[in-house]
Amino acid sequence: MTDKYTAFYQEYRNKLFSYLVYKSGDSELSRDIMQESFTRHFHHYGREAVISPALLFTIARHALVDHLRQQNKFQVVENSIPTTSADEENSFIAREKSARINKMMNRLPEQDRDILTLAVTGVAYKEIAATFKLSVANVKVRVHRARTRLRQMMTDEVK
Amino acid sequence: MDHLISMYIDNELDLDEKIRFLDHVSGSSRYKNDAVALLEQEKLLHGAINKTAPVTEKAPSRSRLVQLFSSPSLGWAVAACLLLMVSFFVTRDFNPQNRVAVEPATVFHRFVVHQENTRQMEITGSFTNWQRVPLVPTGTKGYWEISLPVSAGEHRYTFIVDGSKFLPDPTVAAQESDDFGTTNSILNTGA
Repeated sequence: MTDKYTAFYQEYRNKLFSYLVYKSGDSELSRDIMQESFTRHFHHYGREAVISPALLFTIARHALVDHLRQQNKFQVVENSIPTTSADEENSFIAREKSARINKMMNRLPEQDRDILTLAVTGVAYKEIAATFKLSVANVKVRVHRARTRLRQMMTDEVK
Repeated sequence: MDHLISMYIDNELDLDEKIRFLDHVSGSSRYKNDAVALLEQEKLLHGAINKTAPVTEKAPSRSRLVQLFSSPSLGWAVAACLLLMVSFFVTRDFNPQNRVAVEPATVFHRFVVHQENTRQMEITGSFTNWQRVPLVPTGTKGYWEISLPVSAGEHRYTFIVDGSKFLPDPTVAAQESDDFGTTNSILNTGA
């Protein structure tokens, strides 16, 4: 069981962390919630060998909402921009592009943004569907709709 | 059918859907352009969203935990969770094989190759565990491209034309023959 749970932890650690950082903009908070979410998931279900990514993400979402509610911090935090080892000009262009896509992401409806974020981090559609209590068919449509909306917004901004 | 593009990006296509997707890509330039544009956009999204969790075995800091789970009714539950978490991680630590390895830095590397009159281009290399990954045709001049995550270090790879002919990257001078009679290109990515 421990090996199975270790594999689950290693597979979903970065996915959950990316999702939490994108939601909160706080990597230390995200790390704490990530670890606590795995602990809670293991405590409640791990010993029965039930491994559920959807439950893990649900626990993490609730923990993050609880935390933000306590802090009265519901506004979207500016996301950190990835650094690059490229030269300064390329680095500047990368930062600009990253800032633009972040800005456009924030214009999507919150649940569509969450669903797309999970898809981009590599979470399977069936797990996203279970997390948000949607059908897989609905997730397929909403993921693609979010991507095409983003593309449209990026194109409109250039015009 | 448009959502097949996102399913392709997210590796959600089954075999029948893959056939339908390829039919659409080859039969409609608009569809192909949409797919390539969304793949380009996906590179930006990956850069903006995908973060690597810091490798740490230590428990969350007490101050954060107090903030997060300060409800008195949760006190015993939190204590039990902490106990389990500590026992879980400590147990893992006793076995060196179970330690989480520090993953080398990974960056997206863009591979581009020019090959006209070709139905399919693939790439295989140490960064794909030698699995074949299809390239995406771009433009109308016979260029194919793909961006793949490549960890820092030295890698070997080759292109595959139409499923059978191996083609080392013509833009990379460093090459090496392997034990199977194939010439691989050598790629060095910085840390």
